[in-house]
Amino acid sequence: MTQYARRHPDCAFREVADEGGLVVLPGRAEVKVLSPTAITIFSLLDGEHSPQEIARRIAEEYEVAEATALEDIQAFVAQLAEHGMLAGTADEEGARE
Amino acid sequence: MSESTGQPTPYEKVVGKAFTESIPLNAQIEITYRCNHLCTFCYNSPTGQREMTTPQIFEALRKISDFGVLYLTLTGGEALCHKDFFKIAEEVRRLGMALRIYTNGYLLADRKIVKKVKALKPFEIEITVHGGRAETHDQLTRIKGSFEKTVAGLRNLVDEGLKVNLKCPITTLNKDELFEIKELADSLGAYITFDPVITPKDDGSQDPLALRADEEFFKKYWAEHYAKLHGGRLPPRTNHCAGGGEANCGTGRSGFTVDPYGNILPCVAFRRQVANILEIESLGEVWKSSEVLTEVRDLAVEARTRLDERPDGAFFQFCLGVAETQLGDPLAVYPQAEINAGAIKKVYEVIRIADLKGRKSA
Repeated sequence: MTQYARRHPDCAFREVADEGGLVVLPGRAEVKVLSPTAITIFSLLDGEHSPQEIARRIAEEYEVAEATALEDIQAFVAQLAEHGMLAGTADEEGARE
Repeated sequence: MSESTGQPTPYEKVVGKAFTESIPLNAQIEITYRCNHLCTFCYNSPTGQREMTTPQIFEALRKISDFGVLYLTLTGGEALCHKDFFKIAEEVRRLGMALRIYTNGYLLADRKIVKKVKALKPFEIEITVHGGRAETHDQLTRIKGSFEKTVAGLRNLVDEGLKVNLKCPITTLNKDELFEIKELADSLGAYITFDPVITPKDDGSQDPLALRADEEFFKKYWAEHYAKLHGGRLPPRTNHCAGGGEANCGTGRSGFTVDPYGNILPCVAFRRQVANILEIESLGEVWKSSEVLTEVRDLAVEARTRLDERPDGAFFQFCLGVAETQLGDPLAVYPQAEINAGAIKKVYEVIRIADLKGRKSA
């Protein structure tokens, strides 16, 4: 079964009204600030939502084209991976295509 | 605040929004009043009631997590003295909250315990140090050998790569050792804050206040020592928990505390009982509708308004909880706050005068 991108289990995060949200990375004692869109995407990265499903949600909420949303999500997920904020999954590459 | 633009940083914007909307990002649970120290100025006041059981603490944690708290601090008493400390801490992490631990560090002299703490992936650990020398620290904790254990605990944490902050309440016994304490912090790469206020006990006993350093010391502390102890920074002009808005501080707004009996308090210093966490369905409803919290928030705004009317008001670090416990009135200005504000005001006056071209103070 394909497992979609999942946020790192050690991360703690919270959305704060319409200002975005905070992601705490305990392993490195760091706190990242995410925009409102980014924190919505981050909250959906639970390994059960495909990028397409997340793109549909974002497209509806922010009234953008689904294709644009998907591109942005893939770029964002790549950035999260670079920062070590994703759990390691064998099918991550497949999920991003 | 960004130094280059003078605008709030993204982090400050998010935290500021949480503050103005009373979204608590922080919560603290005093999981027990049990402690392995006998600190002379401890503010804890156990009442003899039965403390929450571990399952009850789990229930409290679930409600706190459901409410949306991000940072959860485990404290006491001494948190590591709770027989189920690690189970409780693991539950905090399982619920997706960032874990902070406040401890005296004594038990962390045991490397095996530190490895268990590391496995929790805590966000940070705060340890209280009471002196730069064993005699002073041990005199304040009343436990012989506690300094050695605490420092060993500190070193173990740092060796394991954990983020450690130190805190030192300034007393008449350790006031001449602040630079030694700072050296200890620096040697370990740890950030340190010095707390200039000794608070009464939560039950109103003023006994701890006998350990306050005197006014002459604090004038010198703010004018000379503060900048040297804090990397050249000027003294702060607001409470550490102030959000920059109309309220004096974040009591009942940016966080809350739960005592070992399950009582929800607006913050660690303001000991008015909002509700008992074991008797409510959800924190969200209490947070919105509690009359106690509404009054506390209004008092924090009133405190700010009153301080703004004083000539030294801009330099106050004022705590409503300390005012209520010490003087019976959350808006009454207690001596320590006034002494500190006066001394800090002078610092800023001297700086301002020195900045004017060619003019110095008399």
